[in-house]
Amino acid sequence: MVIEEPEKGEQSPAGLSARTATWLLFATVLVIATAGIVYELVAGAIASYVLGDSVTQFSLVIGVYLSALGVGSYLSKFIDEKLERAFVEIEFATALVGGLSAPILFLSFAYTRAFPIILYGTVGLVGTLVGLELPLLIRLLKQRIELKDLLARALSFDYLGALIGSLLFSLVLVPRLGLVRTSLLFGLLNALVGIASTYFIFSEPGGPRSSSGTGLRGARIRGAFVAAILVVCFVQADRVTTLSEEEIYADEVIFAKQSAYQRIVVTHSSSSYQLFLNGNLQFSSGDEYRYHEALVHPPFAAAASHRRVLVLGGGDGLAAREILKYPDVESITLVDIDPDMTKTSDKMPVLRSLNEGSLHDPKMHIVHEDAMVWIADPSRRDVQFDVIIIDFPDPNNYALGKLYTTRFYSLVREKLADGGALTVQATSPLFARSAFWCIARTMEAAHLATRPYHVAVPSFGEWGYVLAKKEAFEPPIDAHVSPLRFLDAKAMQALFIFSKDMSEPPVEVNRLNNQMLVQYYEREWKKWN
Amino acid sequence: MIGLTRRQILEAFLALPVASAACKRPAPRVFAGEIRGARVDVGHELRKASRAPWPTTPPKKIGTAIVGGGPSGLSAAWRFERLGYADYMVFDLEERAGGTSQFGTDGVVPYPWGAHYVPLPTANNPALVTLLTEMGALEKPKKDGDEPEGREECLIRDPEERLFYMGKWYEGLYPRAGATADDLDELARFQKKIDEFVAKKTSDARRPFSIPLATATEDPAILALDQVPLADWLKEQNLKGDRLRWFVDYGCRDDYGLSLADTSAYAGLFYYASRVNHVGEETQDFLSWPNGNGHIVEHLLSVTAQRVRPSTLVTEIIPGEKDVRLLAWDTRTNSLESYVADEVIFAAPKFTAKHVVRPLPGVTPPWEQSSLDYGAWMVANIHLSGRPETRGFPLAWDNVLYDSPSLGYVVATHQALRDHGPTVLTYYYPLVDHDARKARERLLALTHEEWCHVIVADLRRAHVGLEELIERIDINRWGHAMARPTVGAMKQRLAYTKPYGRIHFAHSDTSSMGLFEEAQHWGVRAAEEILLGRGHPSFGRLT
Ligand SMILES: Cc1cc2nc3c(=O)[nH]c(=O)nc-3n(C[C@H](O)[C@H](O)[C@H](O)COP(=O)(O)OP(=O)(O)OC[C@H]3O[C@@H](n4cnc5c(N)ncnc54)[C@H](O)[C@@H]3O)c2cc1C
Repeated sequence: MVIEEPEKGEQSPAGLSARTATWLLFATVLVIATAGIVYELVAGAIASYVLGDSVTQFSLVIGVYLSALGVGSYLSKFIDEKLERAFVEIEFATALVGGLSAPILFLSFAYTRAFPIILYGTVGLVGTLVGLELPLLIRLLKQRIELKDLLARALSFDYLGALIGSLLFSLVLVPRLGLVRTSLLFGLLNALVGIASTYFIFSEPGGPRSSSGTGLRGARIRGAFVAAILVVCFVQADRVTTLSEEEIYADEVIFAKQSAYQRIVVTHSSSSYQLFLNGNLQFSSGDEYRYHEALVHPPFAAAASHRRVLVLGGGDGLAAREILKYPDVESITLVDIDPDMTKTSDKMPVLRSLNEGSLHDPKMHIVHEDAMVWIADPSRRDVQFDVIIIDFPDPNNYALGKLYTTRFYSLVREKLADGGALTVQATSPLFARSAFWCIARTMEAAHLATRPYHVAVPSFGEWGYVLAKKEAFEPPIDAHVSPLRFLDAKAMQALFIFSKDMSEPPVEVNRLNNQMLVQYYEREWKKWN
Repeated sequence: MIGLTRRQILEAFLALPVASAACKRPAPRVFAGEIRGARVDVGHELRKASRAPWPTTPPKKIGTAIVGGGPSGLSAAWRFERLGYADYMVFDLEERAGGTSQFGTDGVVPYPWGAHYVPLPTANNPALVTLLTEMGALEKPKKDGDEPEGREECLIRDPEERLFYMGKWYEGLYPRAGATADDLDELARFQKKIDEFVAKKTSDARRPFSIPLATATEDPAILALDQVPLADWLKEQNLKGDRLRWFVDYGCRDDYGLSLADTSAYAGLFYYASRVNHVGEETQDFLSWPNGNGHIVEHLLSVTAQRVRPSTLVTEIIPGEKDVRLLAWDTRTNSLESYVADEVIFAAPKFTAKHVVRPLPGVTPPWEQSSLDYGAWMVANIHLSGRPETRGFPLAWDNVLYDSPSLGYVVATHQALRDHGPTVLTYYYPLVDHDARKARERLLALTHEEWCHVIVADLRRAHVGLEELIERIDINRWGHAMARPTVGAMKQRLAYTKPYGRIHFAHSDTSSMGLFEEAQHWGVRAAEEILLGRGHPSFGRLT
């Protein structure tokens, strides 16, 4: 079979009958309506995904989108000529903006601070473009069909499209393709509709014949270009997701690994390195000495002996580095749940030079177990330590919250030799005041005498610890070890002074069966984030 | 049920929407694991063994024979030991004693096969307080007369429970998400009603509802509640909302394996009111261990094991004037032995009594004066290689699905304080049919593979990708899981509260409720009465 070559743009290039062309136009209504609702849902889903509070996010996105549709419809009245051309160009614009909306939103959240502006800007723009489409199409169709019929059919296809879009979105698209590929796919559909319509709407008898062949060709080339961009993005979509995730970190990501327990990320800025666990900053090489000197040396100054040391958490090896400054330390037992953490700290050159190879030291014994399980193990009942350093991530979930309970501290107390001292990193007494004091009170409820203290660590802010012994004691007045960069006698004594804005509020004790701390912590940090 | 399609099975066990959704996807793979629980249905074995000729060798003499080594039988033995009486023997037909509080040990942590918690007792229940103190599960009281406090590591760790509701997990058991002011008002009114019962004055000045049941009032005004289904009582109080009904129905299914319509209002209110110590207080905290009440069984066995004979079925008991003769079948050696005892504590479920105990001449046996009803339960232990995906509130100890006939699952690693890596989920499915026989038929009709379909289709709604984590699913079919407190059941049980000749009845079903406290109460009580009858040196009673 030979398909006749169309001679010029004068005649329907595809040689379609008017009837077929009309149906194709209705199909176009269906596709653009589906795409329209999908863009709206994509934006709403991303907004609630990254900002939380899905009810608010969805209702705002829907509100902005619907009003933008209205703006678009209104603007359509200013288009008087070359309706077909305008329609095709609008299709391409929709394809580009709508199709790229998901990657744009993800990346803007990661890279910029202007996410809300970009979000509502994108939603508004897509809404306006989609709002232009239908009136234009109706006007194009008006020349073929009686108005009564036309409105009935066009609107029902429009609403049908909305139904299809919303069903597809939650049942097929998001689970199968994810948000980024979904928006790209519908962008591509819009582009194809644009290209296809160059083949049938221009042929309308009685319609304006001003579209020259070259104009048409130009439109098709633009369409192909838009489609190509979308296809490339579609293929590369995975990169967009990781890019945006890793760029949530302010600096260049030089290492990222998902272990069985957490996501470990190391970033590099011009002057320092940072370690993140599950997106939470653990230290920055620029000021971690302040954090770790304050973590390790007060309990060493308060303890009667330094022979046997226990570190719970602290898989980065930085606390161990400080501990090894004491020649009288005979052994260090480090319990960290995550083998990938200690391995990374030991193998990755940046970290290894920061911790000075402490994890490798012959005095070091590393155990990979949940600290709660390890410490509760009856086979270790008789083992005791002179100094215990507890350096867990903040209590932002129940699995971590249990490591700050009376039960846990009672078990820790059993491991503490007479005259020994222990310290607990205890989140910020400024940002999470109740959480901090809850930790101190919980330790007291486990029959430990406590001395809370704090230090300013620029990359964290004001940070808190609780020093404790089994016996009543006075806070230490100096650290007897060198070299130290931060702690001298004056700094040591200043640690234990709390200003009014960090003083103790009334708090409850954190127990396994109430997990108060997680609630304090969540409530208080929410205010700052 | 033979010949049903997978869809029909899922429909029958999980309702239509789940079946439709599950059948859209390919059937899950076949899971490793076994189905157990045949032994526990004693009736069958008894019929096989009965009428066996007695051995001709002379019977062995023992002071007291305890038939059944579940919590009630072991509690009797425990009380004997603590009072320095050693002339007894416990017979249990299973390889391991423990009855419906048994546990498994072949997982990453021990896990329950049945009972999984006890509420913290009040000072009202000295037997349980004594036992738990001995186990180290209670704090040392600061002064005499203090209400007992649970040891932190034995109380259930927060988060205790969560509910899968409309596609997401929420904290707590009552479906608060989307509840209207009216719903919450109903809940408050219900709680107020319960408080009114807690405070109510009775004709004998005892608490209206109290654990153990024997300490509760016998005021006819309260006992009359046993004649009314709980569903009707709720209606009378104008408590009609779906959420509250679901919440209370869940309570009935969870504790009794009964629906709202079949539970007696007495038993239903007992569930709530007996666990509140003073008006306005929260219900008593729960105590639990990775292996559930199996932990208590372990302790009881550590005291009594040398006088417990497992794998031994008592097939016949002949009561006489001066003694009782017993025929026991050792299922390991397949040999019969006869015993003669001064007394017997019958701590096996009562529905077996008529097959085992011969009537005393001239005395109507209690089983002819009463009939108890026993529920059917399926319990599955699902061994997972990791923690399931979750939308919303994180994994808790008890994880309940709103629109499921199952009770959801309990996580064995929760009380072991392990929050990462492999775990065992114990999934509970009571068959709450009005007709217990039909429930049993349905329970036994499904194969291992079919039950696995039901379980996975149920849980997969709440956990994407669950199948990939499953290493094994073991299933236990409890044909006569526990006595059901249906309407009127409280009267039925009375026939067993007094001894039948030299036979004392223990077992939790003496209270028509499958609760550890009731099992312990009747076991300890039987032991104490027997020692009193024997003129044992005086002792302080726990019952
Ligand atoms: C799935 C399930 C969940 C439950 N959850 C809870 C819970 O969370 N909390 C709670 O308090 N209770 C719970 N229960 C109730 C539980 O039944 C009681 O806590 C307790 O185990 C009852 O103890 P028992 O000694 O009365 O009876 P059983 O546990 O039934 O013990 C009876 C024993 O007698 C043996 N036996 C029977 N016949 C003979 C014979 N002829 N010869 C020798 N031995 C015989 C049996 O093998 C069995 O070991 C649950 C029960 C089930 C089935």
